[in-house]
Amino acid sequence: MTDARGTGLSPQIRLLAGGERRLLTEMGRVDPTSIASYTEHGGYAGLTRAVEQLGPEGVIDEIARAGLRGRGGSGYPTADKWRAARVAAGDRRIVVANLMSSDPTALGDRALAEGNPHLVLEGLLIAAFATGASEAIIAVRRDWPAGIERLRNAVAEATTARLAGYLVLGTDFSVQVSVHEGSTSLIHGEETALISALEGDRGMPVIRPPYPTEQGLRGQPTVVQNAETLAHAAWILNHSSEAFASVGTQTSRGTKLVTILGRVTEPGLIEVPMGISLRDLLDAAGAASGTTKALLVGGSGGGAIEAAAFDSVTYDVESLEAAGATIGSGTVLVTDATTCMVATARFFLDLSAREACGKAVPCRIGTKRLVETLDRILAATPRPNDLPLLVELSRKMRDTALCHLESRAPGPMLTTLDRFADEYRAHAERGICTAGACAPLDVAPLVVPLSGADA
Amino acid sequence: MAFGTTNGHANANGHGSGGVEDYTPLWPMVPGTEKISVTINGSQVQAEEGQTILQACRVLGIDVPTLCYEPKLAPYGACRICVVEVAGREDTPISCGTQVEAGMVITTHSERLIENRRMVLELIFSDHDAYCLPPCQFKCPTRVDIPGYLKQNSLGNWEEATRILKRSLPFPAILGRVCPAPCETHCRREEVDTAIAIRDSHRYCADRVLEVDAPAPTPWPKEPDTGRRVAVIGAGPAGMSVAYYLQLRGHHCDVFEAEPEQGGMLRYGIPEYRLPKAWMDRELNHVWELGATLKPNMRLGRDFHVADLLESGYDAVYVGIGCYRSNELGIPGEDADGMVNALENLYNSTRGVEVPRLKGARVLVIGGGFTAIDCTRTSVRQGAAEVTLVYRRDLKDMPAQDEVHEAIEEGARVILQAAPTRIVTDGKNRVTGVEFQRMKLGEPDEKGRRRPEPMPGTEFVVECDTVLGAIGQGPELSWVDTEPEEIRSKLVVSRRGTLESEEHIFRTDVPKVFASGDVRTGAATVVEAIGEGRRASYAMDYWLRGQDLDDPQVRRIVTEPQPSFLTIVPFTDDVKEPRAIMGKEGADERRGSFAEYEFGYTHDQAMGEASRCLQCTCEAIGHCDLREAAIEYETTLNMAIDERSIQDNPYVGVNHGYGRDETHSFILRDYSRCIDCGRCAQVCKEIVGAGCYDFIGKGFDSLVTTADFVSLNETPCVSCGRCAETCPVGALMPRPRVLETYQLDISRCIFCGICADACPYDALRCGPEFEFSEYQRDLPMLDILEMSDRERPTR
Repeated sequence: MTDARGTGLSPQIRLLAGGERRLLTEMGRVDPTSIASYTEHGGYAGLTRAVEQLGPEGVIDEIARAGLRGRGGSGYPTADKWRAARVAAGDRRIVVANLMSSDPTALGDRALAEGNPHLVLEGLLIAAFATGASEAIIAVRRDWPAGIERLRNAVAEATTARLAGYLVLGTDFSVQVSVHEGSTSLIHGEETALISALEGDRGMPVIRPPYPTEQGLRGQPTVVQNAETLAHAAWILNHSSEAFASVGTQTSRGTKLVTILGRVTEPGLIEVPMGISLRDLLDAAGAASGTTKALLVGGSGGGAIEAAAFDSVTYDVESLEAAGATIGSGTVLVTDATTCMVATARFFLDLSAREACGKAVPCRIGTKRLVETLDRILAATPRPNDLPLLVELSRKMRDTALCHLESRAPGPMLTTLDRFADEYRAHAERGICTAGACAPLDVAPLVVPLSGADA
Repeated sequence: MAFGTTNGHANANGHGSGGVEDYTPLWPMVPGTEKISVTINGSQVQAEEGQTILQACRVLGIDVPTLCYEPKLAPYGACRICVVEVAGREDTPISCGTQVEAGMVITTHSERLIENRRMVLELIFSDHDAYCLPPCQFKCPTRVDIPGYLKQNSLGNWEEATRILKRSLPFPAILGRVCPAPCETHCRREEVDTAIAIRDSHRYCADRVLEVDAPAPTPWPKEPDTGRRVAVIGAGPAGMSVAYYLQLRGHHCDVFEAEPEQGGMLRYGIPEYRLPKAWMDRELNHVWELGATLKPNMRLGRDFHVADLLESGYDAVYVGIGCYRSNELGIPGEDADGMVNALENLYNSTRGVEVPRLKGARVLVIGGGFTAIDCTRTSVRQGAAEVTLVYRRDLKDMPAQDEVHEAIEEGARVILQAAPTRIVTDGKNRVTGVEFQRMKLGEPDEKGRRRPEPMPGTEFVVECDTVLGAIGQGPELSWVDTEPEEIRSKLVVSRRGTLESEEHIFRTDVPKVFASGDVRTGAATVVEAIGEGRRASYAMDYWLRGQDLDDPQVRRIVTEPQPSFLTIVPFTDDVKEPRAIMGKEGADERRGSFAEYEFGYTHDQAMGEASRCLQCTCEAIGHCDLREAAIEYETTLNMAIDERSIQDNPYVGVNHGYGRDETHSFILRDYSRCIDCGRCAQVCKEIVGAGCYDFIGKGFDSLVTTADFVSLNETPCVSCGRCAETCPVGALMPRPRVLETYQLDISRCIFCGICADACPYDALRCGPEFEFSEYQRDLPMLDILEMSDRERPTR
């Protein structure tokens, strides 16, 4: 399963040169199937430091000093989450490493699972130690067999080496680690849905509060943490909070694994400092191109950022939120002059609609209706109020959303409608794709005057 | 829009944006719980620590709609309809899943919340292939349960069918002959092949009941006498309906009739060939069987006055005197010799009196309504030499269009799009003809009928001896002037010449006096008069029981809130089965006879026709949360009269058409009605422990059902019925059990007693006549002693 460059990764995962390499430093150097190789490269020093020197509170303080925020999309401060679980009432505590990766195009978690599984495991063990958890679960998508195999191997090796299991490093800290092979459904990346799935139910989000840190898996305080966040936690303990915080912005520190896709010379995975401008991100990835039209940042819940804003928008939680996008799955889809933005929006909405869990009414039926509306626009057979309908239904869905996958689902459509309204109108009113990407219509379009989108 | 609260103390228009309301808890708080202060809709209230916003609102009687909320379980959060606004939050959180916190500022009704809730409902309806109220029932002025009686008809339960009919329509056999059947024009079967013969079907079952010499079935047992006395003026369809229902409710009715016999226009306006009078009397007599008394030959204004009735101690007076004054043509020459009043003509014909002006004469009838067509066909039967019907509009806009072809078959001539301009007379002022002017069809009016416009220069004369003008009727209200001043001054005659009474409650300004039917609406159909009568009887009964008709809540109950159709997806089905057509006499036989010419259905035809009904009704209609919310949030569609397509919902798109599962003995499942709230799955798993249901599928195709749609019989179902109990809509229902009659043939009984032991309802049991346990059977006993003595071969 190793590619020509010897990273040990599946062939579809390509590591781009450039950026600020931290989590990716050891990729290719360390043997992902060997704990000896990992420790040779300085592995498990962080766990040892945590257990032997810092103690749980010390670990949480260290993470807090580093300013680590969750890399799963929402950017919740990791130290706050751990502390909340630590003080919550419960018989025992559980930590879950989330490798269910909502977005199948995102490569970060998969690269970590396949290229450096011990890094994820070390982070998970540190989280377990800091929160006082006695159970740790690694939840992985079922369609990553190499990752599953290496994570299982890593757990077995670490347990044998007394780094997991009973009496870790000879202390009274014990944690049982298991690997859960989960569904490939998009919704299972949502933490409450993942907890439902781990409980044996259909994976559907549940009402928060209570938050999982209060009542999670089987009613116990549970920390669900993205694999990349855990890897960063291990890196912080291995290095220092100051080293971690040396890059990034005031609010978003450290680095982030970003997947570059679409109309670029070389798609792949890159690690960049938080707060880098989108222009620099493209340059670092060697993907800058004169014809780049927009970036769809954040996957199916993200948003489109037009080329004119590449310098002003930076890759961090606040700036992206303000621009209508999100870190989300950590993907950046590059579009150029030959990409139809309506079709792109439809692709993402359709993904959300097909992957909806079916629980909340506005999501189950609403996303479908949005896709149907876009289909009408693409077929040049819109109803007169279709553009305001897109905006209004999206706003109401966001108002009443059950989970963030639902509230963010209209994002790509709303941002493209806002920034590339001409393309929507050309499709709807004249049946023309200004990007020339969509197949010409078989029939003459109906010329329907549409009301304004801002109705 | 009335977003009311259920709290009697609270302001009824609880929009929240306006006035501050004063809420008081409906039940006391649990002792010992921490009380916190929150603000709901602008007023400071106490809530309990740990309560959700929804629970706090329910205690205070503030109505927040829910669909997926099951009080026995933890909040689920699927329907997203219970959203509220909380100050400081950008989104609208769901109230069932958000706990109250001290100092929280909550709004339960605002424009934004109403829009969000409406969005949820409209999305649900865009994928809800089901009907609440069938269109036919909605279109009938009496709102009779059409699928209900058709179901009984298809089983051959004629008496039960008639009982259902009589719940809202006391004279189904009469209406089975004379009703224009507005229901049939809105039958959904029409979208499959042809509409159900709804009228012909109830004619059959009601006829079967009339044939039997037994007391007529009543919709409910007659209630005990209340001691109230009501004077009903007019024994026509409206008055008789009022008397029927008031009598059933225990009020005694005296029916005053100007003519010697009952029936009003039914008797004196509708010809014998359409409604045989002997048969009609059989059905109308049901009113007298209930105890009402007829006071014939009592004409209002001549023989008595409303004031007299009030003076003589009647508790209420109902005026249902109908429309007996013919409108005049308003053209020169109307006083000529040969002009005959259309109603007078019918009055004479129906009494069997030969009308000399018709026999052998050339008769011209002007008009297009039922009176005009009745005059036409009566004139044929009276032996007129030539009969011509002239109508100013097109055939398709003619109220009596269904009968025109029969009139033509019988020999009448029909001229359309012509209006009279003058009567042509000879020197002796005798009619020799009528001059007409051609009309062209202009713009449609508000009813969708194209307005006729005269075309000058197209005049022509039709020669005739007798002219019957039948262009509408109004009520005869000259009696009002004979009343004493205090009553006369309060009876209002409208601009249209009708007697005014309040809509829905039919009260006039004179205390104790009610009026409805044609006298209020102007000349209309029999079924509309019966509908008016029935509704007036409800209002009067309510008032007679001492309730206040002013109460707006009461008004809603009395008038039966009539929601339009819920916006749903169109029906699709491909079963094809033709409509059963009644047999009838040929035109030659009809021409000379006043006998009824339609034969009615045969037994098999009636059952077959009724079984064509698609039963587009929902068993859960009375207790459906979705419907209730839809009515409150007006996600209903106001149907135009002739419009049937449903496109008002902005979210209409592809939809699911699921089947119906009737395999289980106790629980009926109709997935098309399912809104995927997940309550059944939750209850079945968490409370019952069987776990029969769960979500299957993904995205838009998600559905809460059994795994792989298997029958409930193949799940761990324990038939507890909790799923049907919790279902907010009609997707899961306790299966209606068909009542069956058991016959006990005592000559075959072996007195085993199993039937008495096994009957779950204690309907069969040991009684004084048969005591199973002590019965000695007179059968030869086997002599065991003898058997034991008998020698048997040993092995």
